[in-house]
Amino acid sequence: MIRRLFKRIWSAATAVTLAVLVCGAVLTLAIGAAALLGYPPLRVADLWLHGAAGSWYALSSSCADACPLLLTGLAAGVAFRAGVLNIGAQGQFLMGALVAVALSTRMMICHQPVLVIPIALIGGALAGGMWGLIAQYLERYRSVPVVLSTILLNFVALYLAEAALQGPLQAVGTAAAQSPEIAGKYWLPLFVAYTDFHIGIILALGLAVLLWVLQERTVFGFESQVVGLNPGTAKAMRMPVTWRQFQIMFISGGCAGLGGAIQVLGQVHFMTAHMGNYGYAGIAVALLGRLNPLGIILSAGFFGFLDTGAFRVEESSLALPHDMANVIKAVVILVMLVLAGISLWRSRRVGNPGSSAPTETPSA
Amino acid sequence: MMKKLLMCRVNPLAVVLVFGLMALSAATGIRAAAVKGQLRIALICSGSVTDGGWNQEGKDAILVVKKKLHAHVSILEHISPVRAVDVMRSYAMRGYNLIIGHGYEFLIPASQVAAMGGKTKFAVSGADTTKPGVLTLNFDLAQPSYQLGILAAMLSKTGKIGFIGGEAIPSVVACYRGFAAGAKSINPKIKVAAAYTSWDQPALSKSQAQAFIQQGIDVIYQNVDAASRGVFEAVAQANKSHNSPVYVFGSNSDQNNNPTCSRYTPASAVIRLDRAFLRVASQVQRGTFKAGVAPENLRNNVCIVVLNPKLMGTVITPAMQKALAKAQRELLSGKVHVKG
Repeated sequence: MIRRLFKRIWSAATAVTLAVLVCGAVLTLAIGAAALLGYPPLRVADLWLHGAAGSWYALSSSCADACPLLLTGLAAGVAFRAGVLNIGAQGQFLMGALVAVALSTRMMICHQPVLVIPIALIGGALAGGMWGLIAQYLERYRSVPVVLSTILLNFVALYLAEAALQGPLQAVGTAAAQSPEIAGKYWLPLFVAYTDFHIGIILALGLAVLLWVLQERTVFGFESQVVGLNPGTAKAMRMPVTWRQFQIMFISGGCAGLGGAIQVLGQVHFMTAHMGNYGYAGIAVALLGRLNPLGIILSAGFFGFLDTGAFRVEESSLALPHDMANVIKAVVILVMLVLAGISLWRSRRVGNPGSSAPTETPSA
Repeated sequence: MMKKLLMCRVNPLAVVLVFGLMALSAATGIRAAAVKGQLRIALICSGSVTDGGWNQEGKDAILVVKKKLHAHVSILEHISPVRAVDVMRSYAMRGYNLIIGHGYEFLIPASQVAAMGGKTKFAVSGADTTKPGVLTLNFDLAQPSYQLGILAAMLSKTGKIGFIGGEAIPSVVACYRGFAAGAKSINPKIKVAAAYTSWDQPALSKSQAQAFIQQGIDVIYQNVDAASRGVFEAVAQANKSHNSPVYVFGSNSDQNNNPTCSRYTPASAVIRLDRAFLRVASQVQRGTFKAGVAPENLRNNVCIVVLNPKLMGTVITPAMQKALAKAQRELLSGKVHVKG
């Protein structure tokens, strides 16, 4: 059992090593493209690498940026693997952030940080989960496809957040649509002082491992996978298809909601309706991580590394334009996805049982 | 060969490239050099600096500061509040003297970084309140809007004028209030319509302007930032088919020279961001910078009316210029008060 587990982890690790190394090569090529536009490639590479991982502080910035991506990536990964096309992680993320801000500013049940923080985190996760369930309910009982309702619910969540931030959750003394700042004692504690390493990062990593165990080592995980691959077969095998889809959607939405809650409690400490496109980016993170929670950890870390490094190059005296940095990031991600496809093709061709993800594309 | 490379578990080419890159990176250790003693300013924008609106105006203004004070300027675009603390802290750690967050959403991040200590000064443009350690530039366009109201009432043949705002937020509603008050000071019976569309959807603002024109409105004051193109298009089309002219006013930046209908744009209510930024940067340079709220209005020549010089003497008559000058004196003396 332990040997099999070790073999599996080793297999995943080598696949990921390949991915990371090849991506480094691609980054080199992309930076070469920067050279063609007149930017010194070595300097771009140096600033990018040092900016993203050149010190504990830089590394913490990359990890903090990767944290919400990890959670929205898990949201997409868990759902896609079970055939639930949840494109609504953005809305679920916003609802999680909104409830967490409400529970830590205006609607506080108590004033003890040891209670407020967990309540806000759980509240955020529940809000995201419940928001996801609306879409699943609409599909089950009103025949509205999840993919459509989740996209539309993203807009509902955005405008609901704007309304709340211009109404009951608006900061006092300003006309701006933003919440009050969360008091310092309710921020997520740091586990390395003077960095961005907050405990939300550990929570997210723990959740990823938990989801991996749930998917790979439990009947629930097996059934969800079968439901995703072929709902007809799952029904024939008397699996509770609908119930599993509801459960998966709740878990998926909960991950995204927790991401929003961690973002406001650990990183931003207030809220506007424009909290970044973590929900949509999470889909790319999940696909790059091959829908495997452990792969998603590395994939999110990679995205965080790219983002943070890009900002360091942009704000340097080189002043690399934002669009140019985005081109480099997009090229890297695109090539990574192609390489992931080649890797999958190779593992199927060789008949390698070490391939951890059973499917690349979710069944509709 | 290719097949072999694909079948190999770890791509040797990739290993060589990655480690080569890392080695070169470590060996070079190049860092951005700054000229000693030079004022260093960072401008942080929430959107693209080529948006033709608020962010582009911020960039243009900071480039004026760069030229006049020979400062080193770094502009960062597409920064969300989520990322703001990280980038502001990064600039502060690298010894920047002044960080300007261009938009109210940067107020809390700026105060969080200011609270960490250090010599860097923080300013936020477009907010109406402040936080410890941050200077807020509070722009008030209500007074120039009052002057535009006077001009509109004198230009209108139908006795109907309209206001289109991007969003019904207090600063924009204040523009409407000033506009309506100015118009009614000339013609108490004038009808002033108001609608709020979007900041970045020209199609929406265009259809709203067309609806206004169909109702007989012949002067439109728009404050819709990057969506203003839609209003200009509607006015240009109307002037091709109407016998009597339809006019439009610009806002925030000097839009009198817009390529679509400059012949029908007699004036704009302008925020001279360059003057505000230059003053703050000079204060930082002289060591007289103070945190708090800085009202930016007609009095300190930051929020003003700019008339279209090409239309002077034709569309803008001497009587109109006199009325505007009189209104300015009354606003500055406090005889007329417009709530900002």
